[in-house]
Amino acid sequence: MMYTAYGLAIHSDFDLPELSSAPPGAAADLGILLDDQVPEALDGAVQAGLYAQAKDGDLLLTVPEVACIWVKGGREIRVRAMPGADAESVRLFVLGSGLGAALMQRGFLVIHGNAIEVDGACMICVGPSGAGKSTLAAGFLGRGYRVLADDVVPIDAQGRAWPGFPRIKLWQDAAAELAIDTEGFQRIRPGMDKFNVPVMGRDVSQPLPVKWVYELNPQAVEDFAMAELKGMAKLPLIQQNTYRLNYVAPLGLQVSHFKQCAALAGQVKVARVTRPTKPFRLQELMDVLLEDAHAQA
Amino acid sequence: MRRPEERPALCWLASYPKAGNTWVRSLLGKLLAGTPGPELALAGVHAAARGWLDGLAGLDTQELTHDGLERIRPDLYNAAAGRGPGWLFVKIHDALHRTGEGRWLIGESPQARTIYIARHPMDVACSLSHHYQVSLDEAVRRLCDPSCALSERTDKARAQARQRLLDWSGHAASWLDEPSAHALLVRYEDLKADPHRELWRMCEHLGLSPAEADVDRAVAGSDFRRLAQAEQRQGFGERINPGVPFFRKGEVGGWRRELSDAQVDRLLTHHRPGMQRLGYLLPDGSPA
Repeated sequence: MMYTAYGLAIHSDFDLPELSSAPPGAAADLGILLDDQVPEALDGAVQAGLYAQAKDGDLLLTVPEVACIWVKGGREIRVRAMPGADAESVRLFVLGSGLGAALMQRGFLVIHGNAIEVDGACMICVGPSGAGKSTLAAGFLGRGYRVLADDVVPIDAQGRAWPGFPRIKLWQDAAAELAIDTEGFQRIRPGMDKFNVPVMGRDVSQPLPVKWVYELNPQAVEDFAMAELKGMAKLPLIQQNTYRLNYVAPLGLQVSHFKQCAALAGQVKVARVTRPTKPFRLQELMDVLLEDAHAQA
Repeated sequence: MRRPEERPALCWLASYPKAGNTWVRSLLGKLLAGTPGPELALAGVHAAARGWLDGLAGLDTQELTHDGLERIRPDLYNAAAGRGPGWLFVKIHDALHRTGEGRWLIGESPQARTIYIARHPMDVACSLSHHYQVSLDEAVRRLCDPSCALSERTDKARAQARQRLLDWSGHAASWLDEPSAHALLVRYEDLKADPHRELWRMCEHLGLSPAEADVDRAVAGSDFRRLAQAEQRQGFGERINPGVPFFRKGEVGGWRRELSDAQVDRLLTHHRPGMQRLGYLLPDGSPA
């Protein structure tokens, strides 16, 4: 099967229903292959955590109870599913950590966040688990904005974010808040009430220049607050919100990563947005972000 | 990652929520810092904090199910644990239980030690009610519910892993009855009565020989009113509701004013043996 995502033609041995199909004749930039020879460990590898190791620029992930995923040179993702692993769980890790690592190997700066289109440019919202990134993406969609990427946001040397695939992952709790009925959507994996929500037709198809990076910072406060970071202060925020930051050094990418973060810092507005934890006040949060983004134009 | 012989050993700071864990983290943090530092500085890490667990795993643990993450927590802690010298303090609210694979949640590290912090369950109920903004009846119910857990929802992102608490008595027994936990019991009430003595006891348990002046400084720096004032000025990360301070009262026996007779009876009936064991009953069997 041939698919397209992030400007790449992707061949896959197994179904990837979240991705857009590509015409069958296209030469593949990246192959996702089933391979029962994928090892459990690489000799002489550098550990990037208990379940991730890197050697010669390749990354091996051993996701407990799911799969061993070997990401090689940004050209191949070799997958050996563990006995009893379900297809959704395997896909979750292949399309997340696996594809994210491949994009890093291909020279992109990969940011962990959600990217939407605002006035022909790209706004990326970053932040820790529970900060509200996916809720925000769904909120923007509800207002007619288009999604560029969900979770994995690759940025090229020209500072453009490349579109991923037409899907956002949405927690049941956020769906309820947005009055979205999750009946009929698939769980991202069994045992979690987080759903794959297709957004075909409301996604972006071209890379867009990144203009704004907003970090969501939930606190037990009463009101929203926005603090712009200037000059060198922008750099650590971008570095810390890199997708799978702990893979960068083991993959030997620390120098290029630093330069990429510095380059991005030079071209974007960066701000930390403190938001009240309860209630979420999604509409107000979107107003705050859009007002700030438009003020720059 | 550093080799085991270079990493500190793990010291679990184990407690049911609202029993005084943060206070102990302040005491130990200030003691071992050497020089005066930030007022609200605390020792160590949180056993269920996703940021720490993600780093140990090399995965986004938000993509694991609650059960899947529980099964790997012993290996993650083994990977973090060293042989010392020095201690990495790990705050933990989980009861000490076995995972689905029969392993102790805290892993298998022979050098590990535990400081178990206990507090009168009736005061815990009151504190819990304020902190989580639930009714006193609900707080009492939770203390008596062996299936109680923190962060157990599956429908939203949680900053922490699921933490199974058991009920208040079961929680204490789980840590104090397991020899491999090497637990020292420290009671909130004794900390209030004589913080110097309790801090010395903790140091002895951990093989630490601090200078007297450092102990004095740590105790003074962790005085409740001082921490409460610091929170008023600069906020505090453990506060979860605006307008509800984390350092609220810090008193012993406040339950007498807040709990109804029915609530007191319910806790007493359910937890009598546990309260007896931890010294929370008077000779006539009434709550201390």
